Amino acid sequence: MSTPTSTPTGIPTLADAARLIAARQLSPVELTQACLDRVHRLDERLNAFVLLTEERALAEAKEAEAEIMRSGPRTPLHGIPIGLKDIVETAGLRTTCQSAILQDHVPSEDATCAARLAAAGSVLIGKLTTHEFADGGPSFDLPQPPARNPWNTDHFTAGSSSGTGAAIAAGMILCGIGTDTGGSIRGPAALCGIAGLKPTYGLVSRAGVFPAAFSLDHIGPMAWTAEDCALMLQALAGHDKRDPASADQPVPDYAAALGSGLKGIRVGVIRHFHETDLKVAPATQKGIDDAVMTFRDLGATVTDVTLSPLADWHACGSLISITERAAAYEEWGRTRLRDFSERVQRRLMLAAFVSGVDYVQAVRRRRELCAELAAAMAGLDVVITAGAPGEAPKLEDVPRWDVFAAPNFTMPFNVTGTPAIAVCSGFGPAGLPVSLQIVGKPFQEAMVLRVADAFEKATGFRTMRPPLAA
Amino acid sequence: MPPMLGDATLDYLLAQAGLELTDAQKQELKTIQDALDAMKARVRQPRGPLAELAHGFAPKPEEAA
Repeated sequence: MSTPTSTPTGIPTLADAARLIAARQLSPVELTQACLDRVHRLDERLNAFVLLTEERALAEAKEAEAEIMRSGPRTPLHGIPIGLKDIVETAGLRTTCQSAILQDHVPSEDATCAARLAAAGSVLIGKLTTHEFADGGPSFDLPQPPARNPWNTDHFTAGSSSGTGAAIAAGMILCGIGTDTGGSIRGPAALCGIAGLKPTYGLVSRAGVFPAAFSLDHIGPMAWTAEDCALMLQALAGHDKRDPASADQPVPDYAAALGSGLKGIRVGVIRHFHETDLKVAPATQKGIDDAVMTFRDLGATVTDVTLSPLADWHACGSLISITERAAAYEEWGRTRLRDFSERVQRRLMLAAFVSGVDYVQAVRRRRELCAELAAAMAGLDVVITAGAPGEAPKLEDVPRWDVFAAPNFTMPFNVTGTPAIAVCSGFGPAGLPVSLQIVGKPFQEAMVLRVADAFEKATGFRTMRPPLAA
Repeated sequence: MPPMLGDATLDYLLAQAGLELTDAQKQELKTIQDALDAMKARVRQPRGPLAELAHGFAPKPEEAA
């Protein structure tokens, strides 16, 4: 059992809330009302929600509370307030993908991830802001404005799971769903100072979630801590015949290995990624250097790892992403291009320049890169690099063509489909979070979470919330 | 440095993709051609047989019996 990490703001972690609810010391109704109060107080400044489901949330919380009082919680998520990125379909609830094209879209069926979280007893507070169709970047020409960073509202949240990152950091929900095609879970986790896990490709069903790029899309948990992500993943993971990529294999107990220490764990550092290929800010570099010392102090061995240049991974993933996205939205690209934001129009335009041969060459390169990472990790348990280059930029400083501005540190693990988590590793000179990324072997989420959890508990960063949330 | 993309070629590529762009969008698109070509150059390299696109059947033991 871990030490409670409730902050001075009174916002519990998911794990703490679950323990208190199970002990009947915390009312799901009061917890939900506290989250709703924060939404009412803060969301005018953060734009994290596109749809608030207040009545439904309170009804679900009352139902959960009654059941828990009768027979105890179904799962650690029972009675926990959550949010869903607005590309996740929800039966009877508008799912807009933050796009003018889908403003009236009301699905008849839940996405598998939404259904599994509901079956676990969670309480849905609302649908969360995303970049349009999980693409493009922060846009001001959409029906709703972009989310803002709770650590400083002039700054970017990263995306595309922007609302999920902002809402969790500000304590408006305890956990939420993100999706990740090139870093859209880990980017917002990094810039908002939370934990975000991109699981192995195929571990969490994509059924009912709007695609971005079929072979790079991942659905995963975002929460305040790695332990919280483990609890959420437990509800999400598992085979689903509605998703052709879904893996049919046993789901382990992700929380079981947490707290067992790092003695004997083998950590590789992909140093050239963040020191030479794309040099990170000093605060990010310090976070990684300190993490290496922490891992050693906890009994792990640490060695350097060399892979192909970061730009190779980025080029491979970007060419696949550009092409698959254009295929997914081809019909609307041809018939409704002007109804997309400028940023998404630009992304769709790129596909005109990528030939079928280019796409196949990128997919061939992907096979090599997957083999390369597997070989490099043969004697290791995890590898680490940066989660993001530095603190969050100001919203107006996000490049128009961000795909060409610089490679990112997250795309390599969309290319390989391997699990990766971004966790807070400190704060920069502007008071915004910086981040560490921990990467595992396929289906070794338990190891990734174990290392991330040990790191979080050995450092003090989980006691820090954005001042705005106080 | 590859030659700047001509208007006729650009129009052809956009027609193939079924996209109707404004003149301003076409001009902007030309400015990123070099960056995109640099990406393509990174994946256009000789590859071994293990990099072939292939089906990978993995029957369960009971199915293989």
